Amino acid sequence: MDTLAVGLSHFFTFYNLLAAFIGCLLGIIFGALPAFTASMGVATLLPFTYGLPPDTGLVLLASIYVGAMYGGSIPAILMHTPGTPGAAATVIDGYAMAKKGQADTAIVVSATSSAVASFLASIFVCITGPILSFYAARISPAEIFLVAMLGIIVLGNLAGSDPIKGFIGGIIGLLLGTVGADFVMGYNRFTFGLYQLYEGIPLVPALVGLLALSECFTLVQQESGQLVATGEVKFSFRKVLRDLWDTIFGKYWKDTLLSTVIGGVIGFIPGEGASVANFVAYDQAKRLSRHPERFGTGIPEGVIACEAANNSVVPMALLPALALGIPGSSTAALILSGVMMHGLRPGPGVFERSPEVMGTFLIGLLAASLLIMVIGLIIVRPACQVAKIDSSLLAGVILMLASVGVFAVRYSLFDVGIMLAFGLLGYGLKYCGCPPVTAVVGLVLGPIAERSFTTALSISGGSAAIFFFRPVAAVLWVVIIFSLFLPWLRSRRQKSMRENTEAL
Amino acid sequence: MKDWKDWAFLTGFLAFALFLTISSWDYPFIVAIYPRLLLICGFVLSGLKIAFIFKNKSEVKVEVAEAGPGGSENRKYMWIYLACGILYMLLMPVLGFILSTFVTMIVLLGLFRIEFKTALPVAVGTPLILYVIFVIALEIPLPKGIVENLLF
Repeated sequence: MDTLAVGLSHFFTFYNLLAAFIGCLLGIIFGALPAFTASMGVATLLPFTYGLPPDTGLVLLASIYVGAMYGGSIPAILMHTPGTPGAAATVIDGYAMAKKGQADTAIVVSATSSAVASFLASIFVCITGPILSFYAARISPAEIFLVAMLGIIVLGNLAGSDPIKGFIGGIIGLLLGTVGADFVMGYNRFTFGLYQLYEGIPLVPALVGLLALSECFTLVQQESGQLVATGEVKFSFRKVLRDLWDTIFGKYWKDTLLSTVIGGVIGFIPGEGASVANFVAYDQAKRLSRHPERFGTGIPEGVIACEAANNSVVPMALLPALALGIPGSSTAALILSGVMMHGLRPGPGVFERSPEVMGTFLIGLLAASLLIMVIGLIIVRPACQVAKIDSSLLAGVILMLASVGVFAVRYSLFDVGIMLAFGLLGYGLKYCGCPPVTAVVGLVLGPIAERSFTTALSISGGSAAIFFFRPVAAVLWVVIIFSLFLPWLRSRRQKSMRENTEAL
Repeated sequence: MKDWKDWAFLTGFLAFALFLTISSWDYPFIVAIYPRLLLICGFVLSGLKIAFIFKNKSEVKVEVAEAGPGGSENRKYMWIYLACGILYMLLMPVLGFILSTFVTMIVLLGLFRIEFKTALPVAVGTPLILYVIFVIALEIPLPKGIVENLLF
């Protein structure tokens, strides 16, 4: 609670409020651009926060993430094209509502349910984050190392049908994290005489390359399709108020709450994200509805289920990232690196070490959640216009933005080269079926894992027993082994289900 | 197609891992232990992947066409994009930030066949907006380059 009180006293400055507002605005625009994701938006703007105070910079990043998740629903409703993968299920009822001439209602319930879900999940994070971080700070370096390994393994499962590729992706990231002076002797590893690498591979250019530029490499190859534009959206004040009331307190409150909980639980699990949450929540809402046959015909419940779920994922994905140092998604990894870029050490004990910055960040999350309700309605029409812009044009602008932003962090053209190289690496990984996010997480967790590994070994006098014979370590090993075999168990279950279906 | 991608992925990783193994050959034990453990894990996983590829090859399977990120027709745009990124990096110390951004944008958008009447305002607007954000608002200096220093 102290962290929150400190955050409240620090948040209400002109610059923090402006950062929350601009972040939401930019996030919604990024989210509304089909083929542009929240992580791309955060990655492109990450270097910009370097020139800002840490709390303002982090509020900006959090607001972009929150805004982008809502922004994806605008083209999903109005153009039958989800702006982000997290809004894929919103298309089903959202576009059907727009076709029925209820686009205004769809937008209002989408903005309201997004705001409510994000706000509730943020409150949960505000309460549990500092507590989780406090207790996590009491675990030993050996267990921190195991937690980092768990993060890599869980995210390795992101590779879907091919988790081995995901694990190898994670190892690539961990290996790249070993570049530079080591923690024990200061010996330069894999630097090949390049003094720019003595402190390790610069994180910001590498992440911008892996997440933003690799997406742009794919984007410029796609032909700009014709988007299905619908008619004008007109809001009447009275109707907006009625829809807003219905979503929060009226006939849809149960749907909003249920989907918030579903999204929150899915968001907390590293590797699962908004794209999973919105389909699961939609499916659950349909199952529990008295009129499941009406789903898909254009009803507000369908939109609320998807939007509340994908927006509650955002704060919950940040919870393990901030409290434990395990990023649950690519965007969470970027925000984690943003925390590191500002000289803070995320993970166990971060709320005790930096209460002002982390408290302001949490209050910023709450503020951004409320802002999307206001900005979300004002920006609908401009966002639709932006969504129609040729993607090649936007990719060109992003190249300039990313290059200048990366250059400005250390005034180094070498960093721009690193960004391009990592962009190519990210594209290569994606092309071969390995999500670049696995390498990102490896790169972010690498130094934390190595520091914990070497510290644990020096505590135990070189004995590996420290990694096994402690109660928390033993529990973590059980979870690690379970996570390793989870994809295999999943594929076996799917195979048997398929065989049963064929037999029927 | 999937097999080809699997082999490309494994070849790339093994080449990278082998390169790191050779590079770290004479490192002191305490410095090399962590990367070597990672490399061992990587080699074991690669071996497992190869075993799975051969196991799957022996099973009869139906080939399903995969949607990759762009066909070879469009892949040239990716290389153009990358080349423009390198060009921008090389031009910046010579032309300075404003001119190099303008030139690179014009070249890039021209090669992407964006209409000139659209490309020109974007190419002019991008450096100006970035200048306002970085130099004026955030007070972060950007390179002036030889040409900009001579001109202004």
